[in-house]
Formats: sequence, structure tokens, C-alpha cells
Amino acid sequence: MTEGSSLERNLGFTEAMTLGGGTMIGAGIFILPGLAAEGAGPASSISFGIAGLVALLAALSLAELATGMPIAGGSYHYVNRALGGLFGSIVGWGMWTGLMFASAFYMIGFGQYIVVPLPFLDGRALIVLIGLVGLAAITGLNYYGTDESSGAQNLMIGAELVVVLAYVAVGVFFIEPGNLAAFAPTGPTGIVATTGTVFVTYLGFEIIATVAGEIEDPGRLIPLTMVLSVVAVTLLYVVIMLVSTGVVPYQQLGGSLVPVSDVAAITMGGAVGVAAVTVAAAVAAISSSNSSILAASRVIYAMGRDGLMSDRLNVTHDRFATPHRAIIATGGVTGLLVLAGLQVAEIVALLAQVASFSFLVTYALVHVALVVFRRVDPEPYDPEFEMPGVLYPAVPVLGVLMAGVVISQMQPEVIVVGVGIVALGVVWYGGYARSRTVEDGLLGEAVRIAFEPGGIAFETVGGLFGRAEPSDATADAQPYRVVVPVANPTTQRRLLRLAAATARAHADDGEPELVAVHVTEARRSPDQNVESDRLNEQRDLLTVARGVAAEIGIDLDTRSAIADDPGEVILEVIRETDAEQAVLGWQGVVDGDDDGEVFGSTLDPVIERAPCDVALVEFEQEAIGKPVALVDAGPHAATVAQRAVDFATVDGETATLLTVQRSTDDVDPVKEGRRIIGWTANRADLDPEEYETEVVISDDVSSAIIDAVTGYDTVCVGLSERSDAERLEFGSTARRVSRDAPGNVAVVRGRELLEPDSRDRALADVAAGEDVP
Amino acid sequence: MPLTDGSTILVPVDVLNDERPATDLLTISDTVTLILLGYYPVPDQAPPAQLKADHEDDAQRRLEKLAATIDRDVTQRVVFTHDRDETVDRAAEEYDCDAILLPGSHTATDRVFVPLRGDDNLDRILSLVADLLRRDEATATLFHAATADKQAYGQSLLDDATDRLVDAGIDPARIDTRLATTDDPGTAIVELAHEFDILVVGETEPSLTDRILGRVSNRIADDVDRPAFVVRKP
Repeated sequence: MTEGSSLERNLGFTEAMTLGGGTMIGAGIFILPGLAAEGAGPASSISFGIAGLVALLAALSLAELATGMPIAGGSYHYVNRALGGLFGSIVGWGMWTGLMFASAFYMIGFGQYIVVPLPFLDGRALIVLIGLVGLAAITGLNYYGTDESSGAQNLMIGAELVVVLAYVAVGVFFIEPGNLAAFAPTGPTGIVATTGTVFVTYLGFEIIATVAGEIEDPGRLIPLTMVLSVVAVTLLYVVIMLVSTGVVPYQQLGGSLVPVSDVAAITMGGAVGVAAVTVAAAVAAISSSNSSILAASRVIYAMGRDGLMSDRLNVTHDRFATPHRAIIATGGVTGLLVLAGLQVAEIVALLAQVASFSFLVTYALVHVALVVFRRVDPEPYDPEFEMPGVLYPAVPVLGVLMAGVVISQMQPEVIVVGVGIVALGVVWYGGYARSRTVEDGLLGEAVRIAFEPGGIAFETVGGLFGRAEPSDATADAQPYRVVVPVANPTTQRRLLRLAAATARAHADDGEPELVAVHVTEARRSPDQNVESDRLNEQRDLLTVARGVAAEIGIDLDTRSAIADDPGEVILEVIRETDAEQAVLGWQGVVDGDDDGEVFGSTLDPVIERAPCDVALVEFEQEAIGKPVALVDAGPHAATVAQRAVDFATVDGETATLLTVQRSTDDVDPVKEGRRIIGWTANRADLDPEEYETEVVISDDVSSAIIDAVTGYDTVCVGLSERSDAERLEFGSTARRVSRDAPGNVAVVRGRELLEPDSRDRALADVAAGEDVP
Repeated sequence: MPLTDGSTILVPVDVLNDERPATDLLTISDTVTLILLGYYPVPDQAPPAQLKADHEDDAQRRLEKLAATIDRDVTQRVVFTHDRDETVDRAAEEYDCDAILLPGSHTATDRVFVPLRGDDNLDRILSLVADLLRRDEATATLFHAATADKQAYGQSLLDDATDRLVDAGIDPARIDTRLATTDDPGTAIVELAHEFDILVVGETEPSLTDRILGRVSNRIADDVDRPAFVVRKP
């Protein structure tokens, strides 16, 4: 017995808080006080407050989206789903570059804290060199892979936190009120401009969303850890800024490369304090940079999953199982950014601002994504955490506005670089990704709903995870729709051709149109995270389906969904598209499979309850060729005959209607057989030239059928030999045909059932039978 | 209380490094139910889904290859995980396993060593021992180490355990008991374990993770290099 495979969620509260909160604290606490003091003086604590508010708004929106779709990729993933590949590309590239800029920012800070306190070291080159060494070490570590690192990580962040808390607690007593007298020397503009610099610190909680697919109890822990870490870190930073600028005048603090060491030299007993801060700063920089690289490789992975990034970048190492190419790429570009520190004096502030820019754009789009999801409310989107009513839509609206305000106050060169990164995402999408993605997002849908209140139709079934292509069929005539669930890449082409032929055979009843459905079965706990790994398959299948449809020249609409129960989704699509037929692939009879399922858990509900004709086709050979319909007294005989005639059009053949009769004394069996065929064809509205007739006389009906159908390529057989239509019954003849016939087998169930056949039927029918020569 | 037949045993297998527990060990008893848990260790650098996408088939194939060497039906499950111990813990819980098999490179399987700590968990331990003794060639040595003043209790523990195995239909000739006087049972177990082929030890810590990393089983894995069945607490 094989139970498949599954993914584990291993990140608990502590791990998530350490990843998120730890990255946030480490990110800036040792470097930002200098930059912030320079930009806004003591009022930079307000800058942190504003940045924290922007982050909190983003955290609320993100938490709702993340609990609705807890899979790897974070903001990128939600924006891509909601707004489509173009915005997905912008956010993906923005996050990746943002994380690289942030990582370079940490590593230069790392260099500063190592170089400045040591009297025999000096100079910008050395700072850059040490930053590069640190970066190389982190990149190497990630290349080889870490698995027990969370213990070490917790320890490091714990030590760092102790130093920071001691710094605050002791520092309070050294505050000189005079230093705080000129509280906001640069005024409101300076405060907002500084917000743009310090926002870099709030990349941390995004990391929680990035690993959302690995967090335990995601519905509770994701919102909790995101909001809690943002609030705690903001409070901490506000106090730290007040202490730092209170102890050392902001002008002096602003000019320092190691502001926290300068303060600690006064408050924490000189050299001891400096040493503690240096170690903590180094640890903080390393762990933040590490988290950024981890998050970056997940963003790249998520982009690859959606076809926005080359799979070659996402190859995992054979031995270390790490995405080593993505890690090297991230480390390499980060190294170049650190190197830029040789030429650019203001490098630290610029790196921080560009990273902030990217993430402000990202979060603004996340707010938009939330609005889109709420409006469209696609079926599989059911977040466990929902923003309380009073906050919506205030949170997303305010979030977008504030992001805009903060960006508007950034330095022109930062805005140029930031816009350049956005442009990169756009160009990448246009040049590389567009042809490879299937995601159109929900934006169009949301807009449509906005203009047509209540007009949300069946698109939602697949809207979230696939695209709903509006058909070209005109509104005045109802198209003749055939629903084709695709799941098996080897048979789907034949299935689609068959479905197309049968739809065209009914062109008189409406414009032929196919609806291809792919349902990814969501196996619940402990197999979480199915969405991510099977989207590729889904994309491939539907892309091929579109290709086949274009080849044949038939309208194709596609639906895709992730659901616990694929059969129910297929039924839903049949109902909502008002389909005339469903043509499904089927594996054939499995002997000894007595689990109460006739055709399998997916097919059973469809064949039992579909409000249309259903054909289950088992492919044994390439050609549909010459079909034969087994005509008997069963309730589906007319539909069976009809389908055989439809299928014959694939290869331009003529269908044969075949019946096996026992020899009896009271009637001529040949005559009786012809009567039955004629009656059935009449019921199916077939013209005599559309079919040929064959009557076989035998007392062993079952064997005779197998012998008789052996010469045909495709056998159509009714679902049941019983008239009891309510009960799903395969029927022994159908079962035997499926098992023994060499050709393709279609098991057919009609929407409308015939009355049980009886020889006392209307005499007119007998006449019809006698017309046949 | 009579011993129950047919313990359920979880066998964690590293499917990345294609680690293969000896087949002999897995076919050791016909009455046990085996759960093969193929775990694919995922480094922090990658989301599990990424490795699953790349290596699911490999992992399944390796586990199937192992399962094919065992001449009966086994439950197979592949898991992509950041944390092996937590996964083993969860799987043991999910499949209601009586014991977990920790691999060792020693290949013989005849002599079973069973250090008993006390009445705790004795039913499960003895049920598993009975399962292992269903093979004709197997022998078991029940062992208890205690300080000098606790010897009487130790003897009654061993006698009682022997009686229950005999009641379950095991030939008394194949059950041996040893009682040691020592202040350091752990060391005594490790020293003696070298004389045997496989071990059956009871869980010592409340949590399974602790136990796998815990004192006795850890020392056995490191020092003795014998395969060990770690019997879970009910």
C-alpha cells in the first residue's frame, strides 16, 4: 500500500516569531539609528512609528491573504493570483531585488561594526571587504544547506535581544533632556523622508508570509506572529530612537557609522558595552542577511512555479537539496551591491531606501490584491483570518495611500532605481514570461463584477487558479457545450478530439464549444501544500488543451480548481455551463476493486448525477476509427447509438448499430434485432444512412458480443442493462466489453432514459424495424 | 493481561541518501505491521514543495525498491520535511505505532536484548518481544539493572515478564534473564548490548523527540550500533 507523499509543516510560534521579529530587529537596529537621527533628529522615533503603521496595515492584509492561501511565495504569490502575471512579475522582481538590497545593507553595516571599533582597522575598502567576507560565508552556508539552524538562530536572536533590551533599560537613565529639545529639526518632510529609510526594517514580517506554507496552524499563527512582531518591533524602535538621540546629540549620532556603539560607550560601561554591541550587531546582520537569502530563494521558487522564472534557476542540489543556483545568484548580486559601497558614499542609506521602495510597492499591490480577492471571492479562497469589518476597506485604502506618501518623499536617485526595478519586472514579463504563464489573475473579473453587480457567473469555479477565457460564442445562441475533464496527459488529446467531434456533430443545436476542466485534488492534512506542487501539471494540461483546440479550430473555455472532491467540481461546471454532454477519460475496469466505487470516486458522482449525457472513454488505441454501438433493451440505448454516430465523424466512418439476439421460437431473431435497432435509431433521431445494422444470433450473448465487436475500433455500450436508472449499475456486459474488447470503449449514460424496451411497444416502431433490408 | 499480537512498527528511512535498513530486520516477524516512512530531509533553504516537485518520483521509487525486498504488504509513505524527528513523532502518532525501528549497521538478528526499566510500558515491550520470538532461531535476554537494595523487585520483574512470554506461547528455553547490580544502568546496558544483535528498549522521555535524541537510545545508536526497537509509551 502506498500512501503517496506529503509535506510537513514544521515552523511553530517561536520559529515564526524568530524569523519575522528577529529579522526585523536585526535588520536595522544597529545601523538605522544613525541614518534616522541624521534625517529627522529625535523625531525619527515618529518615523519608525509611521513605518510601523504602514507595516501593520500591510501585515493585516497579508495575514488574510496568507491564511487563505498558505503556500510558499508570500506577497508575490497573492499579487500574482489576484492581478495576474504582469504585476506578479513586478512584485517578484521587486521582492527579490529588495531582499538583495536589504542584504547588502546588512552586510555593509556588519563591516562598519567590525571595522570602526578596532583602532588598527580603518577605511571604506575594509568595510566593504569584511562585508563581502561575511556575505560569502552566509552564501556558502546556504549553498550547503542548514537544517538544525533554528536552534542556533534562536540562540543568536536571544543574545541579540538581551543586548538590545539592556541598551534600552540602561540608556534611559542617561538621557539628557537637552538633547531632545530640538525634537524635529527637519520638520514633517524630514520625518516622512526618514520613514522611507527605516521602512527597510519591516521586511521581516513578510518573511513569515514567504514561508506561510511551512507554518503550523497557519490560520492562527500567521496573523498572530505578523501583527505581534510588527507591533513589538515598532515599540522597541521608538524607544531606542528616544534613548539614542537622548544620550548622544542627534548631529553627532547622525555622523556615526556605529551609532549604537557610540551610545553604549557612554551608557554601558565603555569598552564592555561596545564589545557587547559589536557582537550583537554582527550577529544581527548575519542572521538578517541569512533570512533574506532564505526568503529570496522562496520567491524565486514561487516565480518558477508560475512560469515567471526559469526552472533552471530553481534546480535543487543533488546532494545538499538546496536551491543552490538561486542562492548563488542572490549572493552574487548582493556582493555587487556591497562592492558599490567603494564608490558611493551614501551607500547604506541608498540600499535601505531602494529596499524600502520595492517593498512599499509590493505592499501597496498586496492591498489591491486583497480588495480583488474580497470582491471576486473565488471559491477556493476561504481565509481563516479575516480582517474585522470596521477595518475593511479602510486598511487597504490607507495602506496604498501611505505607501504613496512615503515613496514621494524619497531621494530622486532612489525613485529612479526603484522605478527601474519595476520596469525590469514589466520588461521581463513582456519579454520572457508572458508566453509561459497561464495566470491572468482575478483583476478582470473584479472589474467586471464592479460594473455588473451580482453578475458573477461560473468563472469563479476556476477563477482563482486558472483563467476563464470568455468564449467567442455569441450571446444570442446557446452554444452546444461539451465538458471535458482533463487529467491524463497521454490521453487528453484524443479525448479532446473526440469531444470536439461530438460537439460538432450537434452543430445544429448550437455553436460547438468545449469546456476543459482540470481539478487538482486537494488531499487534506497531513498532505498540505498541494496547491504549489501541482500547479505546473495543471498549467501544462490546460496549455496543451488550448493548443489542441486551436489545432482543431473549436472554441475552448478552460476551468481549473483545487478541490477536495473533483467529481463535485466537474458537476458544478456541467451545471453552470449548461452543458449538453460530458466526455471523460477512464482507466477501464479494475478487477477485484471492490471498494463500493464503480468507476472511482471522481467519476461516480458525475455519471450518477450529471444533468447531461455522459460518456466515459477508455482509450486502448490511437484511432477512434469505426465505432459500433451495442443496442439492447437498456435505458441508454438511444444515447449509445447517437454517440457512436457522433464518434464516427472523427475519422469519417459510419457507425454500426449492433444487437445480439437469442434464437427463439416465437419470433424471427433477425427481424426482432432489426426492429430493436430501428426503434432505437428512431428514438435517437438518426437517419438510416447514418448507420449500418448488424444482428448477431447467439445463445451466449456475452461471448457473442465480444466476438462481434472485435472488428471495430471503438465500442459504445450503455451504462446499465437494468431499467432501474436511479441506481448506478455498471452492468455485466459493459464490464465484460470494457475488459475484453481490444478497441476503445465508451460507456454511455443518457440524460433522458428510454422506457424499458418491450415487444408490445407501439406498432409504428415495428414498422420502422421492418424497413431495414 | 495477555499480550496482544501484531505490533505496529514505524521504520523511518532516509530516502535522500538512499539509506536501506537490512531486509532481514524488516522480515523479522510475520505478525508485525510495518509502516515504511521515507523521509526526505529538506534544508531550510528550500520550501518542501520545491523538493517534492523535483524528487517525489525518486523518493517514491527508492521506498518502493525497499518495500519490494520485503515479502509482504507494507504501508509506504514519503514525507518532505524540515524536521525529521517531528515527522517521525507525528507519523508514529498517526499510524498508532507501538515501536520505532532505529537502524544500525549490525546485520544478524537472532539475539534480542531487552533491558526492562520497570512495569511502565511493559505490555507493549513484551508484545513486541513475543512477535520477534515467533521465529524459531530467535532468543531473547531480559535484563534489569538495579542498585543492591532493589534486587528483589528486579527479580520479580524479570520472572513476571518471563511468565507472560511463556503464557503467550514462547518456549521458555529461548528466554534468558539477567539481573545486574549497578548504580549506572545506562552504562551497563550499553556494555552488555554488544553481546546481542538487536535491542528492544522502552521510551524513557515523555516526548518522542526527546526519546530519539534521549540518553539510552542515543547511546545505543552511537556506541552499540545495533538496530533498536524503541517502544512508545501508550
